[in-house]
Amino acid sequence: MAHKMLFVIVLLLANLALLSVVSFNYQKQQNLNKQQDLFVGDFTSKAPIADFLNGIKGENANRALTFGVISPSSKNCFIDSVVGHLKEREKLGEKILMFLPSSYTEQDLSNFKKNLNVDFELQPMNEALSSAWFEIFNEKKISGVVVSIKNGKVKID
Amino acid sequence: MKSKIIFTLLVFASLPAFMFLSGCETVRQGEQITLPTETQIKISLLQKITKVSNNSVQLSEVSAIPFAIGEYPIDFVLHENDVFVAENNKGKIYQINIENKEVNDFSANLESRKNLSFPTSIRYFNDKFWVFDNEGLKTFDKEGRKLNLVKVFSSVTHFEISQNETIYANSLTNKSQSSRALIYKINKHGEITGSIGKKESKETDEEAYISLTENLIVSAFRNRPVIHIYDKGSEILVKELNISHPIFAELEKSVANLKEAYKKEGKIFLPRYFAGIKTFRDRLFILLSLPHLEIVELDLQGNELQRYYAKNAEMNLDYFGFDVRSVGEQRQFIVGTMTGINTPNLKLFSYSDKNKLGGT
Repeated sequence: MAHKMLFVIVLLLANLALLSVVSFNYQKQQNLNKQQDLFVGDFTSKAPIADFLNGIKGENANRALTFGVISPSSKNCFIDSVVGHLKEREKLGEKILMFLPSSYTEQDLSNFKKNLNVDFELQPMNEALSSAWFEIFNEKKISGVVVSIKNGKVKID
Repeated sequence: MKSKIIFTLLVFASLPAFMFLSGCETVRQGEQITLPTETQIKISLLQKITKVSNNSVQLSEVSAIPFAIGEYPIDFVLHENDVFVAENNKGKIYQINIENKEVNDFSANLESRKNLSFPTSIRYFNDKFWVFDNEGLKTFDKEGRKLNLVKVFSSVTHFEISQNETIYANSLTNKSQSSRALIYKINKHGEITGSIGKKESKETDEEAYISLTENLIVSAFRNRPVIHIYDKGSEILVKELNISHPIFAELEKSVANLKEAYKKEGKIFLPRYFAGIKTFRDRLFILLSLPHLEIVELDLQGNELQRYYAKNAEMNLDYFGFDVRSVGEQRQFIVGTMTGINTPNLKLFSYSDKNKLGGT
């Protein structure tokens, strides 16, 4: 009988271990999903970005606009994928803009346009706006975003 | 009776955990296919070879300098008696004196430790270091003072600099562009001014090593045993050379056989054929990507002259750079090699038969 009880206790402990492993992994997955979700609200919490988005919304009330924002530390492959995405949207007839970090020099802007074969408009951001975007990028651990404005609605792509 | 029922219920309730802890691991092991690594395949193919080329020279190991254990060196440049190794993960540059074997962290001299971000290739030209990293092209002097950063927006894997400071670079293909150039010409401001050659295959032609002479640009595909020689003036392909080795054909068959199995495991099996290339005087030296050291010497017309082996040296899992120099009547090969997982070694090999030195 004692052996049987010991066996049951071992199995119960094993069950508890299984439960904790499953729940730990579930929690980890939840956190990962949370980190990947981006909402317009995340960005409009910063006054310079809220003002910027309102301004750009007003200027483009009657057309679809897609723009990209990248961080000064964005990797080449990330910049490449943002530019690729914007080029695809450009083919659909949307107005495309790309906002580049304030730390970029005139030469950097020129190289961006020429080396990546970009036809759409590039705009360097001012210092305050740059800082606001990059604060969020750091918080969210991302390198940049693509934002769409259609029928007055802002969407993070 | 009551206790028996409770016992039975508990046993059934505990069954999932019991199965998980005892059975699942076995099932998982049973399902796992152990695929051979590239090195294992190459070793097994090499063991079948009994005949060695008549025109072969045995190299002797002059020195081995282990350094940066656990790190990931990616390229090096030789300047006088110092080798400067770019380390990719931590963004370091190691200075290794090949005479006294002293190893220093040169990157500690850089003005800001944040100055390098995942460097991929390093050269020394016109009294300055030129490094491509995640942020672009950085130049700095021997004291570590940063001279310039230009953004290139291209992931350069290997490059060389010509006398007029034109950079000839191989880079990973930008998905946003239709161009699949093999070599980009980049000026010192980071602007792409032209392109040479084309990547015929998305897989095998993606990465290539580059070396320059006064009139030629030579490139060696990493994953295809082919050398391209371009005329620097006209930028036209003047020669395509197939480099043979007794195991290369069998390696191709292994690729075909294992491709699907690797794909099922979410991996790509793309064997490496070359690990480095260097033009030296009127000769071209190619480091083959084999577990034992093997170097092919050709003249610039593409005729194979001889092969060098270091069969008794340690096995190499991978290489991170290659250079050639002459010291008196000795020719030395400097090779960056991974002799184990995360165990970098800088090795010097030489031979002293002056009749076989060749070159002018």
